[in-house]
Amino acid sequence: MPIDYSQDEMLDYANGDQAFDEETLTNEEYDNLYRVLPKLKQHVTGKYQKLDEQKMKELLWNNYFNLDDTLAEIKTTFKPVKLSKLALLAKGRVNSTGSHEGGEGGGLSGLLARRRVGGTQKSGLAGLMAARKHGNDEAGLTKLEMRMKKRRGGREAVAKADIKVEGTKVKAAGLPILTISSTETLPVSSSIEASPSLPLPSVSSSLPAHLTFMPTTLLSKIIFPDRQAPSPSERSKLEADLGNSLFLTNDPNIARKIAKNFSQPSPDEKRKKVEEVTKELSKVKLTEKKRTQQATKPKHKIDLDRELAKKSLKPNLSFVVIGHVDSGKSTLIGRMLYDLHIVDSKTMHRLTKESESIGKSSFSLAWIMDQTPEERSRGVTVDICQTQFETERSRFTVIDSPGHKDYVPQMVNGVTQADLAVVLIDSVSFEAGFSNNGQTKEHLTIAKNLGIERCIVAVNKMDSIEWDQFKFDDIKGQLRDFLVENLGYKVENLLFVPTSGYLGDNVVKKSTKCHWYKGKSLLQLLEDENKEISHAFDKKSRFIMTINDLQQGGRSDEVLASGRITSGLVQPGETVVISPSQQTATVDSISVTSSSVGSSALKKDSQNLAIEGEFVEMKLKKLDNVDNIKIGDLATKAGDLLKPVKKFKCELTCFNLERPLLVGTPFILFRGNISIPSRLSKIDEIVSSDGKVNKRRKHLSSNNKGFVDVEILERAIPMLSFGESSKLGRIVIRKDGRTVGAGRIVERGGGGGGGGASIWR
Amino acid sequence: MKLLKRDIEKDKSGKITVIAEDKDDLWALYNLIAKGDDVTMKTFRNVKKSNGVDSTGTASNTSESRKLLRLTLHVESVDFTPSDEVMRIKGRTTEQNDNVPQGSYHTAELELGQKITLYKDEWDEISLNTVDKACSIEEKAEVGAVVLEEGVAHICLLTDSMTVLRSKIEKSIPKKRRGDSSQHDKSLDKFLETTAESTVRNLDIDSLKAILLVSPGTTASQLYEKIFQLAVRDNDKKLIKSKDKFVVAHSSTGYLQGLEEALKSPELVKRLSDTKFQRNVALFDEFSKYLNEDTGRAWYGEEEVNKAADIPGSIKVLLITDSLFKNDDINRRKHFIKLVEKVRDGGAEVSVFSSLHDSGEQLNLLTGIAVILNYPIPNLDEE
Repeated sequence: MPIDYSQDEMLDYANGDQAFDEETLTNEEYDNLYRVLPKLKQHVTGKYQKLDEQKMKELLWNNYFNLDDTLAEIKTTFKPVKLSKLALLAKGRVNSTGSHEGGEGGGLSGLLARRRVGGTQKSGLAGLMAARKHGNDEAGLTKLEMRMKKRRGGREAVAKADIKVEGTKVKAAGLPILTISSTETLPVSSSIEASPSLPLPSVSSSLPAHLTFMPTTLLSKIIFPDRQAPSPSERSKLEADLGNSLFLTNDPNIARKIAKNFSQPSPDEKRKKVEEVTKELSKVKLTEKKRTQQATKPKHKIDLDRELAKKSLKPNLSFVVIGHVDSGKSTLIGRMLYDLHIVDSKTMHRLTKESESIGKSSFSLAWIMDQTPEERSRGVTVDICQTQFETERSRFTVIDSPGHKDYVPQMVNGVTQADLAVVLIDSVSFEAGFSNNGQTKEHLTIAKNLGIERCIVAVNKMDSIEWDQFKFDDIKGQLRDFLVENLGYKVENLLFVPTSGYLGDNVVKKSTKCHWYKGKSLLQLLEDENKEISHAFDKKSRFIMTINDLQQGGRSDEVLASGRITSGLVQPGETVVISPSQQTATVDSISVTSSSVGSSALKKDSQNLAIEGEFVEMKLKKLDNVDNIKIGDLATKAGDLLKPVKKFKCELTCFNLERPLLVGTPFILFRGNISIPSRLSKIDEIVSSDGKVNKRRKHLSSNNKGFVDVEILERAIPMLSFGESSKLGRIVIRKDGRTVGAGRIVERGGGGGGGGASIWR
Repeated sequence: MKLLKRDIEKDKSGKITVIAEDKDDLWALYNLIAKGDDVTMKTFRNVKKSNGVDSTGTASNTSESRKLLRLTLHVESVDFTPSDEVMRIKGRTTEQNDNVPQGSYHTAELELGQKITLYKDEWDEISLNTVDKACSIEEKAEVGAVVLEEGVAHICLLTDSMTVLRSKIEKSIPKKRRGDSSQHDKSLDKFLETTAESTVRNLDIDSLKAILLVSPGTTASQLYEKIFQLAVRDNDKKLIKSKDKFVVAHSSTGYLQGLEEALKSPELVKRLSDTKFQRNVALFDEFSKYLNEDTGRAWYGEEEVNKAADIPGSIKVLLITDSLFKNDDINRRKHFIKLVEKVRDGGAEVSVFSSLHDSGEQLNLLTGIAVILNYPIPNLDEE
């Protein structure tokens, strides 16, 4: 997202309009265009003036290839051919039912309305300009007559346009738009005339056109041929004045000049017109706000139950790989992908060569996941990396997380996206990782408190200790004690497997060197867990998606948002609302990027349904401001807005603290995949580890439990209580690089005490 | 602060005339000026002048003009916004002059470099101390700091009495993806470049004692490299020369609270040991540590502190925020001044926290007053 001012300005420009260029369309768009174009031709050919094929294509593109929208636009923009008769009548000076002022207003509001619908002003203006070019000939008149006719509906035009806006989305169901690839590039229009700053200038410039021809008979008749009639008294006064002037001057030229001057709108009238337009404009904005709450129907009609049944055949399991630094997390994942032939040997060969060249050949497998220059040169994973693959029976999302102490925030982010944790233990230096300064315990504590109920513990680097069963059992015993006694895990939810990520033993294939281990390999265990965990999906549950990553879309009102669906389901075509920015967007397409076993290609499948637990990439369009969307935002269905708050109540459990949590103590709050500075604003009640309740104390010490108010600093974010979402209702807090507490949100602050609202006003 | 005149009588009443030279001085003045004091200063006022003799009061002949006047105000309230470097003093005029009748309300703006005379009925020890400290010629230690992590950076200025956020940079950086991290790398580089440029622009590196670059992981050292990479590119010799002013330090977060965390680290303690805010951070940390041990060596709250003060020799350090002295209730203020004098006479250290620092704000939320004791006294909170 650009923060550069110059870029912002560029974007502003781009927002106005985007030129249509057939050459730059993507394949899908091209197909869409030629599928809809013949249908459109059927409807409009011969009925409208100046509507050639190129125009039609452009209009279609502007309306996202939606036939109904395009037709509606043509109706408002182009002159029907049959109207030319009316135009002839007009030429015969048939004084129509009043002035064209309202007509201008209607035309303008029409223009404005169309502008809202999306990037059509170019064609609208083109029409206007064409009319002007013809000056005072018939075409120009026709145009104006048409306006006059339209004027009758003055304000209704605006109302109608609004209905139209709502209607489009409903109609959108009829025309499926397929996935448009992310590589799509669209030229940004730079032509000034195509991005009018305001349609207002056209008011004055197009007005005189119809008045330039004038019969030279009675002056008074000439003067007020079709303008808004002033009040009768005013009119007679004016006529009297004019009579005087006629009386004073017998020169017909001067009389004509006077008449001509009076035929133009007076400054007062001009002002009035501007005021009227402004009034319309303010109305337009109001209705626009309303529009943002409208829900839309999916593009495709699908048999929901059948689709769901299909999905449940191959459930998706998301697992995060956690553990102390250098326990071999990235290497294990690299090995798994390599052994499943998802990474081909060519890539592997290249990585081996590259890693050897800087003397880190043992890192070659880890480099599959660790790609940034910093990660490679330091040999440490910095951020989580997520990838998906599917076997014959299941779909998996694997999340690699950093083990280094400094990057626990990123690891927390990874845990919030997972159903299960694979805990890696370095069998060679188990004690270092398991000590109080190591990350093994911290990671496990975080995982448990964020709702991970099942763990597979992989005791790794077994090749380095000659597959020592005694050592394996020792580690298993210590870990099991910690997990069960300190963290409250159930014994049956813990699995242990001896592995060697570097050599690949017990990762995908069973080890031939480890005779004493009778269990399954890690991948087989994961497949079993997948079956175990996948539960019946409630299709009525509320749709919530957490946005994990954002990429720029092809157009300026589009964005590619990746994330996990926390609950519920969504289909392309539906409208979502994103909190905290409260912007709405239409889901244009949904896709899943994944690799199949045995193929190294990353394939991107478009979906017509996405459900709970899936990792998807959604193309969101019709956004007001793409820059306001941030990683960590939550998307819900339109009409189900999550209100951002700055305060909430929670039940907080403290761990072993070096410093107490005082009222006012700042810390970093983790919820879902966001981390945000916050502080303790109030302590309602403290329960010490011995069960004593204290309501007067203003600080929480080690192992205390308390009901507290937390205030979020900097900005308001959407919050859900634990009752509303068992995943998003959990928090973890860290201070000075240590995890100090975890809790459940009891109540989200009602409106944030005004703090939240003030930001979005 | 420049002291121009000091004129205090034996009965402790009197006035001083000073010129504020920096933000810290304004803050000192803000804490000095209390409700009921008199201040004399030059200030602009819109003055209505009626030219004609118009008894009916029609506005026909009155004209309004902005005039620079010397006014003496009886202070009612003082406002100070650190980021604006302006203090607003509101009060009623005490004397009459050609343009302003006596007793009319006026709000004067005090800016840096402006002369002000402050009259107090009683100059107590705390007030005189504040003046002395603000006027001491000892070099004031200002430190710049950049606290950052991937995607967010805070550029701030630390003075003796306040932390000022000069600029905040936010950029969402796309995540790395398997097979392609170019988008991530490119935006990260752009983010570092923006931060580096903003750092040089927002901090007056010449006048600062040190510039701290604080982050988790290696982001701070990447920024360090970036700053000098840009300095070499732009041939900024001055910046290259001050290279040793830059200190890279570690924190667990790139949000502002990471700064306090870094200030506790041994390498920074050594480097900034003579600064007041460093001392405050260290004291507050010590207090927290004792509080966590729950052995009765650390207490907070007025009652508890009062009790401790009654036991001679028990207090090691008294921690108090300046906002307690900034109390409109004279008796409360006197009470705290007395308490401080008593504790100091007992041989203990008294540390006044500025509420414009994070540590002071935290102490404020914790009743504003706390003590570290020389030996444990359990149950100080019980009757």
